Amino acid sequence: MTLIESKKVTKVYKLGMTTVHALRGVSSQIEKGDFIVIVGPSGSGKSTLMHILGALDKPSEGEVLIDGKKISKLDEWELAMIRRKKIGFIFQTFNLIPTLNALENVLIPTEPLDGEQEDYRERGENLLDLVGLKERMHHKPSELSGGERQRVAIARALINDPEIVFADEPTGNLDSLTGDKIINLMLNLNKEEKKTFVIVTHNQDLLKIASKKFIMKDGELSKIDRNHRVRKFTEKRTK
Amino acid sequence: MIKLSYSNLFRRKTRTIISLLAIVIGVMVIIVMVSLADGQFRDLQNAVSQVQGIRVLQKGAAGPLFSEIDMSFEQKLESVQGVKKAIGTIFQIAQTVDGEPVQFGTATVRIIGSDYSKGSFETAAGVGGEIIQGRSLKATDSGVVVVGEDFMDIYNKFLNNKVKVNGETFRIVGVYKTGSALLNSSVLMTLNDSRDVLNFSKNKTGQFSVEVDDPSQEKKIAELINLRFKNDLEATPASGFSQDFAIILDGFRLLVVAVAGISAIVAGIGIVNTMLMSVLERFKEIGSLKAGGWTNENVMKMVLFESIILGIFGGLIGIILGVGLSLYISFLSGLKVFISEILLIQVFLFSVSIGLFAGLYPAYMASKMDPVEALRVE
Repeated sequence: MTLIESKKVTKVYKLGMTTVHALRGVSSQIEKGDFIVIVGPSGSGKSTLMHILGALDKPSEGEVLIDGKKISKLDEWELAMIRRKKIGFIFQTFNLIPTLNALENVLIPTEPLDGEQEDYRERGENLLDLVGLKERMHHKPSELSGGERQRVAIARALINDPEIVFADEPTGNLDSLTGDKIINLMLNLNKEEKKTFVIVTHNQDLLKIASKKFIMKDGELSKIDRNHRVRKFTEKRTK
Repeated sequence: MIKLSYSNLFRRKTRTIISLLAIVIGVMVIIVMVSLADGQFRDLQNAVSQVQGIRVLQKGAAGPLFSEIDMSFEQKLESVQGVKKAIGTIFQIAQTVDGEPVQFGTATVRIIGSDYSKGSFETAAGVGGEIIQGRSLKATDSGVVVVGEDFMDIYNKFLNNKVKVNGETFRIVGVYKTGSALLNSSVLMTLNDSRDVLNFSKNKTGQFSVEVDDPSQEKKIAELINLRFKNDLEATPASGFSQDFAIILDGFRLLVVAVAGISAIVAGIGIVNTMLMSVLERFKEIGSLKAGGWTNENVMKMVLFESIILGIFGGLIGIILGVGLSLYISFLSGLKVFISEILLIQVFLFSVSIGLFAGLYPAYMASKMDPVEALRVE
């Protein structure tokens, strides 16, 4: 089942005086249960693609369909509703609120929602248990390690029970051992909770565990067919 | 959401406290000024409402303290139709009491010399009130005074004690009390004694208090006196100078409103600045809230709550400190304060609405932040 589909998506934005062609006709499909890894150097457009696929931004040209709905036709409020119901985000810098404890941070996306706060609370506690932070749910971010903070961010991304989670350099601020644990956690959530993950990173090691692998370069997305393109990418990097 | 906004304010405690201070001081100033003004207004109203009849001063005199009239006008005034009595009165501020210079303020000692052959204590002294100790004055008295109860307290006197007023020695034979603090520290004496103390010659008085047969005709009779003695005298009905006071106090209240307005603007600018800074600092965080499905309205609400909470706390703290300061000033100076519940409610709503209005622009800014732009910032 296709969750999100992009068709010849381009994105052009102005950064000061220069015009940036971040995406140059990207077509892709995200299927339910995918564990997608998109690698690419900084400035290749991978974050931009993630934002557009995650209904945070609209394409300049082309179309993104989420559940068959064209997002270019939606207004800001409708986009927010799609993110609220279907999409979770994880960032390199965690973006937790320093004055709130782990559980309260996990519950932040439910803050504007009506309904039983107790139910959300229970769900938040279960999610923190799932990511291995049951004992530390009342600690503030400053009292948690980097890996623990990213676990809180993962639980937060799952609080609204989204179908798909986008992660932008989720291990970028973590040491490799902690990073591996975070990736394993996401793999488990993919297998056991049937969550779809899309990870954008410049860490090509992650390609090994992906169910679908892509490379982003100069605003173009290519599928990696085993060794060939990975090698090409490596050559570029060592220059 | 309110809890979140509340906790956001505690991130930068110093900054929150500083912008809180702006509101607190504004609210405090308003409460102190208005409660003092209202206190004085009520006191004056009390004093003025007890004064009856028509006050006749020398033509062109700046006030009772500067007036001198020949006693021959006594009969001339009493011949005016509708006039019952014209009572010679000398009204001055005492220079020294028991050799000490008199302080100005509420406890200013006024010497009121009246012609007691013409009437009782209440009417002759022109202060109203009642005798609470000893006796009233008689026209034949000499070397004795009746003083207000505050005077007894201030100068530590008991009935029959001696007191020196402007160097002349008197015995206190009575104590009176009125509803107004402004009138409770006067020294009442006979017209003759006051002439000696204040260096008036025998055939002069300071002013005349004119009593009329029909109080409702006061204004008309005052006009008649002004017409007949237009070169020498100036008559004002008591109801007239109560209006003068009201006009002066209205002017003062207007001043208070102006001060309130200025402090509101200062406090408002403080909050706008605080909120803008805090919103810009949280650029990335607001981006991630939006990524998590928050709508622009949700973000706007969060920031607005923050500034309204600032207004609520500023108002509450300012009210507590303002009321405390008013009472303390009253305790120190003896000035009366009047704090109405309506004032407190108005000031509170005022400070909450400062919070609301000052938060509008920062909240709008925050809501319009592009999440993509916010998340791109490293």
